[in-house]
Amino acid sequence: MSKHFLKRRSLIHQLGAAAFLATPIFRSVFAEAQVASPRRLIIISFPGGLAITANDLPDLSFTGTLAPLAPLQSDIIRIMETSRPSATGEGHSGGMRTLITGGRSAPDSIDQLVAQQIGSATRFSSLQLGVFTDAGEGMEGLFQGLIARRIAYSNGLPLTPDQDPKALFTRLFGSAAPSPAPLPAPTTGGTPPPANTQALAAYQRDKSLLDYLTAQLGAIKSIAGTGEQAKLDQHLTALREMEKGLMDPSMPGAPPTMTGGSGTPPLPVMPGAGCTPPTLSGAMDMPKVGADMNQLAYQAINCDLTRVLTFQWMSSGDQIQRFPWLGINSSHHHGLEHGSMDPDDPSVKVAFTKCQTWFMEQIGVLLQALKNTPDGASNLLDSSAVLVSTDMTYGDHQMEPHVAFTAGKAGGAFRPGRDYSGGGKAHNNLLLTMAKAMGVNLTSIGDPGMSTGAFDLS
Amino acid sequence: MHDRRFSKPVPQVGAILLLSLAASCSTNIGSGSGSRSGSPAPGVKAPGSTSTNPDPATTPTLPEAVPGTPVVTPPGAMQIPVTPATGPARGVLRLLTNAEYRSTVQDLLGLEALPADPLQLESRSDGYNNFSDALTVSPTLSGQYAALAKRVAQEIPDPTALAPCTPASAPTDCALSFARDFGKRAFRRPLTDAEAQAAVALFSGELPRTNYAAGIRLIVQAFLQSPYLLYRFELGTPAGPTRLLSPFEVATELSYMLSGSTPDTELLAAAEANSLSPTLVEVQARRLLATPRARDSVLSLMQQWLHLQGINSLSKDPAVYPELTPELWSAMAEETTRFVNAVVWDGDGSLRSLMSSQDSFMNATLAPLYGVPVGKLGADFMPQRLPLAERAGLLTQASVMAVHAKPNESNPITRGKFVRERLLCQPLLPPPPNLMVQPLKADPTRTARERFVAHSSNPACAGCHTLIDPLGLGLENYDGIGRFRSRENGKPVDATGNFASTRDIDGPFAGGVAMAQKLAASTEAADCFALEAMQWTFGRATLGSTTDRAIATSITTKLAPNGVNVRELLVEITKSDAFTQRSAQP
Repeated sequence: MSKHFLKRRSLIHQLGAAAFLATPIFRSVFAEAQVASPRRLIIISFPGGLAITANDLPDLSFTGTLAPLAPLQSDIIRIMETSRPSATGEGHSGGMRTLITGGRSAPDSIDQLVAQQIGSATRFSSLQLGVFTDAGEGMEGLFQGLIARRIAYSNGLPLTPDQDPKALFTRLFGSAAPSPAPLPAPTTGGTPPPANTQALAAYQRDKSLLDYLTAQLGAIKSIAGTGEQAKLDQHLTALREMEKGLMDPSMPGAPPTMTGGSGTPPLPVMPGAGCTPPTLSGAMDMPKVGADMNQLAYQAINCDLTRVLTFQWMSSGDQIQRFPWLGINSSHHHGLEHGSMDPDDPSVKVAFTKCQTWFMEQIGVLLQALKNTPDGASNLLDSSAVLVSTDMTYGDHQMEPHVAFTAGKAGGAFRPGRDYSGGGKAHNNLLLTMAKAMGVNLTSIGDPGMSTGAFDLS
Repeated sequence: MHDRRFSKPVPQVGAILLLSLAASCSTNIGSGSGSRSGSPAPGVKAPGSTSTNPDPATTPTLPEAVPGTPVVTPPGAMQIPVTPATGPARGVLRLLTNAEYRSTVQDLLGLEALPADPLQLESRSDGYNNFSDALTVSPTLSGQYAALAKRVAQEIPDPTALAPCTPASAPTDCALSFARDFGKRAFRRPLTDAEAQAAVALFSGELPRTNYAAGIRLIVQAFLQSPYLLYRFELGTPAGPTRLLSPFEVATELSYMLSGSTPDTELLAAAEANSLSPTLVEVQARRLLATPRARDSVLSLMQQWLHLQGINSLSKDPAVYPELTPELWSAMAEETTRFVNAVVWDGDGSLRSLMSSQDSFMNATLAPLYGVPVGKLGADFMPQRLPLAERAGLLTQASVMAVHAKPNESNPITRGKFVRERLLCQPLLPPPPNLMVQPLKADPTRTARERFVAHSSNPACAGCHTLIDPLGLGLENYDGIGRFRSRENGKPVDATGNFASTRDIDGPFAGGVAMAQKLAASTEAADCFALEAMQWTFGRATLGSTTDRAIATSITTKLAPNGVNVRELLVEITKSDAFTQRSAQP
């Protein structure tokens, strides 16, 4: 146990910003340490459900919308016959609000409940990624709860997903850009202090700043009302994450300088398992942002920066984004969602299906990358519990049956390559299933009375 | 593996309300299971009939807006089931918007510009980017504040000019003096002794590591990411049944409302002298309204109210609107900016004029869209009177019409919903599940009205759509990019419409100009603008509060004789109880 702990500490320090860039390190540290591969929870959402097939069911077929995932069919469990009682009567926003919380006013989404238990093991207790989730206006502020276009919630407040790849890169890997002008040298003249001293000074400076800000938030919490506490807690969480990223050069096992390099023993390399900061396209159109986010999500898992990750491709009901790269110009996604059942104009269903198939293709890119990456005796996908789901069955606010599938073996908790019937039970139980696969046993989530127990996917 | 199938869908029909942003209502019921509520409503086709067309013999048609024939609205059909809030709103900590934060940092340090370091986009609520409950500090944003604060502090050319210290002085005393002085402006109130000492502790820690200047930089760096700077405090202190905002909280509220930045020296001094009684708040409000920054504030309100803030990220189908270049989008937005400025600051300032004026501005890029001869027009905008038959005020401007439209055509439903919700403040419920909501697909042989009516014959849809469609169809003279048209697909455009369920403008009208004139004369629309201005001012929802609605009505009633002057309306908001009171709950 203590050996494992030391390894973890060492790895966390290795993953500090600048040192990370200078020193290739590899996840196979787990293999070396002879500990079981950790499990990962990855939740991916796509907008607006699936087209309905001739038999009145959403198209979860591997020859239809899921065709891009056909090569991964043996890694997937399609979750059939589950219901969405918590989303009854909801539209796009409510569909997203309840998707992984299981309730209209549920305080925490399942990823956060899991991160509360296992998040301290990694540099980031959880990550929220988004590609295009801000579009659309409406009256949600009045009667549907604020900002219901997010899927992850903590203490009743939505967690803003990272949607700018460059900003997320900086958060995960530190800035690759040259740092701002150095602090002025002492006016007393003489030679600049050695690098080690500079690193220590930088650490002390950053630490004192974070302590200062944390103390202020604590003081504010004591005078603010109950309605403001969740907001302040989110801010405190953000400061704690920054503090976790500080490298104390005086700590044993820490790199001797901020710029890394000499003196840092390289970790063993497992071929094909390279953990490196990805090269970003820098473009801001949706396919490029999506591809960049896929890269960042992959390396966040591959580098063991986090073990809990949500990835929201788009907000449902989007009225800004068209899909010109698919030849779809006449409608935003919202129009496609609602038009997919139009008997008078089958072309909308064709366009919608093309769009949703594209989402599956992108999701497949991440899943395949995980599968291609050795992890202990198996691969990263095998050690992951992946949930892919959507806010509604199809775009006309239809919530039944719930559309979802899992991927990966969750380290043995899931036996994929088949379908599973939820027997009509609420999808809250599917959320419990994901938590249980992560070793987090919950008896209920979301609206009361909807949780009857985790599904047995083994 | 055995492929289990979903259970056979069971039809379900919910409430009879329907509303969709970009679609019309179908006569068909979508398939799907769901056993919780009820059987199909009378007159609604049973499930399983997904692919059949409506039977015109059995499905009643949507009541059309026929001049002289008011539409009967199902009672209560569109009311949002909120429990009305009464009394003051709760005390809040309002995170600065990105623009407010940047202006604040610039003002504190007297900077011409800030480094372009990114800040995470604000989460919007109800179209506004400053709603308190929606703005939180994520880890990414926190890191971005830290990076920006560090860079700004390091780029201060001479910290000793900011915090002078004579050789005879003790550096710590100088730092304390600077912390108190700079801190008061950064926190928008005097620092407590402990707070000043905490800042000096940062300085004292830095001194042995580097030097005096670096210590001062570190204080600046700390203040620029301090929660006392990042959040606007509106907590108040107990005063009888409510809490009253402190003079410093009021000064802060006033300053961000009317100048988008931190209080200036005079406002801060007024707060310090405890001279922000309602009368003196009014004096300060009028002073701030006379500064150039007030123009930006009013524009921010107008753009967010009209959903124009995202105009640059919208795109249209290039095959349908090849002329829609980024330059044309910019010109549309600029027209509205100039129009608002001209009315509010140089004209009579009235809401009535904003909603009905024929005068606008044109340049060579925009003129063809309006059918105005380019003539001598160049890149500069010139005043232009538009035809009375075609344009009246904000509603019929190309920007507003283009934003409320589909990528490839107009959208009567989006427009009708916009008028109902944003100009009359009557929020509508979303469509219930399992009703098919279908887009108005383009059809080269029919007008939008023809297609729309053909798709709207379901009584389940009519509850809401009688409230929406006759408004949106009244704007059919404006195509998907706001160009006036009298014919569509070779047929004359029928732009007759009807107001129903309004306080004072029920009845038929023909075309967008007549509609705008009705709205300009409506006390309900005036109240709605006041409520929206309050949403923007307070960063919270006001439509569900009876207290807020009463304040809005009292303001517009007072200002009605002059057509509701927008500047006076903002002054009245600052004088209202909602500006200075918060609820008694801690």
